[in-house]
Amino acid sequence: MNRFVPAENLIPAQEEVSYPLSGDGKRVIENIRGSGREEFIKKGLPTTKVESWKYTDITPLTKMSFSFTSDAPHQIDNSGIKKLLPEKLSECTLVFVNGNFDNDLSDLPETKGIYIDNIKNIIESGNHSVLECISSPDEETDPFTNLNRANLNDGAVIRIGENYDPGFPIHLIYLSANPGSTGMSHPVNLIIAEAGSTISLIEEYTGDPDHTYFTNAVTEIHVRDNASVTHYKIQTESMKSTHIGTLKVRQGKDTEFASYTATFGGSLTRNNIKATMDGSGSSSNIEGLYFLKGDQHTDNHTEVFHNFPSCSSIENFNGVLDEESHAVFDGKIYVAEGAVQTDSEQISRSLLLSESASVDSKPALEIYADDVKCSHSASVGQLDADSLYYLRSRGLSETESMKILTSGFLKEILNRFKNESVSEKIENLLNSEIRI
Amino acid sequence: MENKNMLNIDCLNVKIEDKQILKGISLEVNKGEIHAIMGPNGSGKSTLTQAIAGREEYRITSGSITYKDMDLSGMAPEIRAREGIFAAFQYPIEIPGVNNAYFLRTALNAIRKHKGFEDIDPFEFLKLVKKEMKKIGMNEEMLKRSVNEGFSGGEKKRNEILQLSMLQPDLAVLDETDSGLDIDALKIVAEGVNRFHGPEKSIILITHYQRLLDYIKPDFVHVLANGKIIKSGGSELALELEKRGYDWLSSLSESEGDCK
Repeated sequence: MNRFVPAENLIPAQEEVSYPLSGDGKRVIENIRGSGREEFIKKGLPTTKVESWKYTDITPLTKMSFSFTSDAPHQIDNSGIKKLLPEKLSECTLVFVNGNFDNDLSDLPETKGIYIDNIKNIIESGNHSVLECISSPDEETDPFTNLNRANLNDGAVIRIGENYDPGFPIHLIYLSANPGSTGMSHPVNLIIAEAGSTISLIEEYTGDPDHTYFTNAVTEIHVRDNASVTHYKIQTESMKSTHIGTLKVRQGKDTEFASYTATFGGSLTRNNIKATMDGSGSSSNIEGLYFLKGDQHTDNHTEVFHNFPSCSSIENFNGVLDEESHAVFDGKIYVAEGAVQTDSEQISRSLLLSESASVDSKPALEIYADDVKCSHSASVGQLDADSLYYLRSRGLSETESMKILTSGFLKEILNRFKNESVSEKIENLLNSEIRI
Repeated sequence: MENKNMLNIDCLNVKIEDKQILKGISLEVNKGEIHAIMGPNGSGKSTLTQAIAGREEYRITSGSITYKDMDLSGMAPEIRAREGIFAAFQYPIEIPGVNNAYFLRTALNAIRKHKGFEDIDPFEFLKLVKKEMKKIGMNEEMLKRSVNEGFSGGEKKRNEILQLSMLQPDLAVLDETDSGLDIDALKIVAEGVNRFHGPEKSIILITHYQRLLDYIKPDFVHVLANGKIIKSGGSELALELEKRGYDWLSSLSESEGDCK
C-alpha cells in the first residue's frame, strides 16, 4: 500500500479555481486556492501507512462523489434550516449553511473593539489585508489544510482589538444540509486576538441527521502577547458524515489559551489540534470529551510545541465508547532546546461500555531541554465496581447508577468548561445520548 | 402483638472468593436498639456490614439475614436501601464528576418512590439538606462538589452522616464511622447518630475503639473475632475491652449458641 492516494474528486477542476465573486480580494483568494490545489495534488490523502494516520483510515473519501456546495447554497428552504439550526449561545452568532455565511440567520451586534466579517463579504468590500494572515498552502504539509485551502470559499474572520474584551462569546454555527446530494464544506476561520485582548469562541458543527456529507474545517487562532482565548467546539454532525476539524493556534508571550472539544456526532471524526507557544510565560490547555456509539470512530490528535521557556500545557481527554465504536488519542508534547521550566501534562482516559469497543492511544514526548516537567498517562477501563455498589447501596438502581457514573466520567472534563451555556448544552446532550 | 424485631442474623457464613470470613454469626436487633460490634482488625466486621448491605461479592454460604421479616438473600443492594437499610462505609467512595447534591437527591427520590411518595421538590430538598449540613458542621460548598472527591477523611464521614440524616433509614450500620476523626468531629458525628436514633430506628455500630461509645450509648456490645461473635454483654463490656484489650478473649473460640 502506498503512503498517499490521489483524491482529485475532492478538489475543484483547474478552471474552477477562479473565485465566483468579483472584488479586490479575489486575487488573494485565487492564489490560496490555486496553491492549495497544487500542494494537495502533489500528495493526495494519507493512508494508514502514514504514522499520524495509522489508526484512522480516511481513504473511503476517495471513492465518494461530492457536489461542490459552494455553488449551490440554497438547496434547502428556510423552514428546513430553522428546524436544524441549534440554539444560539451568544448575542453574537454567525451562521454558515453548507459552508456559506447566512446573514439573515446571524446576529452581529455593533461593537467598536472587535471586527467580525466573513470571507465572501471581505472580498467584495475590498478590505482584504486581513486575509493575508491566512496561512498559505506552501507553509503547510498537512493534506487536509491544503484541501481546505484548495476549496476556500467562506468562513469567519474575527479580530479583537488591543486590550479589548467584548464580554460575550462569539458563536460560529456550521450547518450542513444538502437534500439529494453528497455535499462538502471547507470552512476557513481566522481569529486574531490582538495584544491584551480576551475572547471566547464557540465553534459548533451540526447537520441533517439523514444526510451524508464531509466537513473539513480549518480554524487558525493567533493569540498575541498577553491575550487570552478560550475555544469551545461542539460537534453533533450527522452519523453519516465525515468530520475533519483542524485547529491551529499560535501563541505569543504571556498568553492563555484553552480549548474544550465535545464530540458526539460524525461517522468518522478527526480533531487535529496544534498549539505552538512562540513566547515565554504562556499556557495552553487542550481538553476534550467524547461519547461514541454504533461504529463511530473519533481520533483526537493533539500537538503542543513548547518553543520558549516557562510555558505550561495540558492535554486532557475523557471518552466513553459504547457498542462497536473506536477512539484514537494521539498526543504529542514537543519541548524545544532552551524551553526550560516547561510544565506539561498529558492524560487520556477511556471508559468502555461494550466488549466490542476499542481505543488506541499513542502518547509522544519529544524533549530537547533540561529542567522540564513532562508527564503522560493513558488508561482504558470499565465502570468501577466499588462506585457502582456505593450508588446502589443508597437506593439507586443499577442502570441509573451506570448512567450517572458514565456521565460523571465525562463531567470530569465538562466541569472544567467555563461557559455556562456551553456546559448546559453538553449536559443535555449527555443526558439524551447516554442510554443504558 | 407488634413485631419488635428489626434484624435477625442466623448462623451466617460468608465467603469472599474462596475465603471464609464469617463463620456462623447470630445476632438479633430489635427496633430502637443500639448494638456495638467490636473486635480486632480482620475479624470480619466490615464483611458483616457489607453482607447486610448486599454486596454481591460477599456470598452467603449458609445461614440467613432477615430484615423486617424479609429474607435478604438475593435482594439487590438498592432494594435493601429502599426498604430502609443504610450502611455507612468505612472508606466512602470518591466519585469524580458526580455532583454530591444531585446524588443525594436522586437517592432520596429513589427511596421515596419505593414508598409511594412523589419526588421531593428541589427547593424543599435544598432547604432540608442545608439545615442538616449546618447541624453536622459541613460547608454548603460540599453540595456543589463531586461525591467525596478530595474530601478529607473527616469530611467523608460527615458526608455519610449527612446521607443518614437525609435518607432516614430504619436500620443504620455504621462501619468504623469514628476512625480518622478528631475528638470534635467525633462528637459532631455522634450527635448526628443520636439525633437519628429513636424508638423505631435501630443502629449497629461497628468499631475498633471504645471511644465512640462514650458518646453513643449501646444497649448491647458484641465481640467479633475470627468471624465469630465470641462474647456479648451490656455497655460495660466495652469498658472492659478498653482496659484489657482483646487478647484475654482469644481463648473463647467457641461461644454460647454456636452454630454448626
